[in-house]
Amino acid sequence: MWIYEKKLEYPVKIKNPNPKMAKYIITQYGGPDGELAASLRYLSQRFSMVTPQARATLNDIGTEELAHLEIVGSMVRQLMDDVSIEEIKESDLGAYYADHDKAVYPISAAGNPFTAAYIQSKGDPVTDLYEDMAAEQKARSTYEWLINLADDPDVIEPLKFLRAREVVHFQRFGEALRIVQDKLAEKKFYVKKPE
Amino acid sequence: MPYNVITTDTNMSQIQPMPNEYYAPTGYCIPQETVLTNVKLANAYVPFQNLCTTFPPVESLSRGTAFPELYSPYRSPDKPMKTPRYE
Amino acid sequence: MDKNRQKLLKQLSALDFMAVDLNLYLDTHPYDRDALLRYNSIVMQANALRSYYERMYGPLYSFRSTSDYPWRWINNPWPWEYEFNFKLAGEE
Ligand SMILES: [Fe+2]
Repeated sequence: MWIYEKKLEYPVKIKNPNPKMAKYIITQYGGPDGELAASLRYLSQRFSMVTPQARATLNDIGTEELAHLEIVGSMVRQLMDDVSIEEIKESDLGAYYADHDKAVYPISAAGNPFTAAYIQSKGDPVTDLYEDMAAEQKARSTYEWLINLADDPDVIEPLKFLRAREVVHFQRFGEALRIVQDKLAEKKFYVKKPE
Repeated sequence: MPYNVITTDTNMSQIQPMPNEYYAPTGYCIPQETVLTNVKLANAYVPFQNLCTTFPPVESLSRGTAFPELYSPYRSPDKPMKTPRYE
Repeated sequence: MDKNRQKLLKQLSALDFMAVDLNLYLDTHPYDRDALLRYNSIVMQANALRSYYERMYGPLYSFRSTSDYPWRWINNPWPWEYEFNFKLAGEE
């Protein structure tokens, strides 16, 4: 089960609202390389993963991604706080406002609603770990493009933190892959079967 | 443990909780695996990390990792560089 | 008073973050004795700070923290609000 901890993994304290930035950053909430996709991907894949190390890695990184989802949601919410209708119309947040007011809803920056088609859970532990490593790289790149779009340090700092986490996650999945590849080679079988 | 080619300094295991415990005094410590054996085609390999030292807690949070060897900040090409806080 | 809460929260968040990063490291390095010692020491320090924070400012965990009367879990601010968070950058 999960237990909620009433604090963020990294603080979000954005003084100046910026609806345009909210519209971009929401892509890490519900977009193709976002935190919701990351979390669901790892937490789903762990059921069929092999080796204790790789299972724990999927479980724990999947959990951390939920904390990142909360960080991104907090950023979006604070960026839209106290924004007037005029400002919403000027930034291109009007279409979002028509459907969601200033609520947080999982969509991409281009407005596509979240879909499970963003993720895979293949049942082959090697395939799944390669997907996870690619996912970490895609998320890292997205955070870099978002950093390029931002100019407020209150926004950039949490983005830098989230980007740094993707680098660490990539390393851990890489290590888990080594362990899984060794294990499969030693057993001389390439069928997925949780031991 | 076959996965950990390089092991940490054993005398590090005796550190007492002190303000500076995060910068454990190490002798010679390489923070990653340096030799890969039995590599096969059509497989990807990431070298194992090997813990030598960590940043202190608040600095770890600021940097997004406790491990110096995994800290690789992004330099935005579109922005004038601001002075980084810890470099 | 709120300054104090934020200061405490900053220390706690920093220790908890170290625990997250060391936990992930240990997942793929279960035999690294030194990393394990550091992890255990960090978690113990964080737990001590956490009990103190909870006594002062109310429960941090759903289903696991006790509460004074009346039920303090529902109290504002929540973590996604501006007022809840501390400033990390700029004042180190
Ligand atoms: Fe990640």
